[in-house]
Amino acid sequence: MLRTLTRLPRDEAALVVAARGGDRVAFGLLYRRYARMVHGILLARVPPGEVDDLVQDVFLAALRQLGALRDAGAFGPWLAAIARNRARDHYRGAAGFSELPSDLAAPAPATLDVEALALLRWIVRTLPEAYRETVILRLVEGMTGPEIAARTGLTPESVRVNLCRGMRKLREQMERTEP
Amino acid sequence: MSDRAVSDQYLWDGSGAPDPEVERLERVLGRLRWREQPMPLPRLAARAVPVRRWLGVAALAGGLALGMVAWLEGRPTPPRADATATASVDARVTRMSSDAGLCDGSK
Repeated sequence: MLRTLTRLPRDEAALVVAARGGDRVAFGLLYRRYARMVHGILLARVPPGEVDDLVQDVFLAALRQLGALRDAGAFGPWLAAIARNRARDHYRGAAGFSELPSDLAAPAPATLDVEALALLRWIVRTLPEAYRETVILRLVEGMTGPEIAARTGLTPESVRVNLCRGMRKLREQMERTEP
Repeated sequence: MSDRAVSDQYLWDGSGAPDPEVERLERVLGRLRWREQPMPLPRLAARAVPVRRWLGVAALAGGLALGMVAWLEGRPTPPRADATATASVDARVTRMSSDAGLCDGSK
């Protein structure tokens, strides 16, 4: 899939530079802007009950590695890569969320919604990874297509294709078996 | 514009006529949306930043201490008060002796 780094608004790049210089407030603002994206990326790969802790892990790793980020405008794609790697590391040597048997209760707090979890599990099983992340960012995190493109570094065209094909696949599955 | 195009527009950016299926998925799945939590930033920052800062402060304090010791050891010792008095007496005695020499013709 074609990926390009979408340039961030200047103030966001400035935030990254400030955060790299040790500015905690700047990093806090980046955290607030990007937590939804990181949450969605993780939700597409690991059980929901473990996602919140992993979100924190991803940002702590980003804070530690921020000095290695040369292009301040590439913060979003860089952070997305850290989140995907963190999800991969989480399952190193273990079965992935999508491979979990349906009768195995994934660790999830009792407060999580059973209906929502079942629907999420169905989406994770139904969609290939390429579509899954984009669809979850749109339907779970409520991000728009342009926002997903700007945050993740995917081209708007790629996001549009992922959303349309992913949703088409979900519709086809819905017609066969209502989740 | 076809129905599908309208639905795709809603899927794309939430504008246009809502797609009932997308809306239903959004409504249910939205319950799993990220809820803002405080970032455990101070813990890490408190460990990372002050270590460097404290190393600098410690190095500066050490340098100052070494400088102070060197200055204290290297400076000339001021004469004590009784030593000054003795020196004055000695000087007087010497002068008197000299004077005596002149007077008694020994010089």
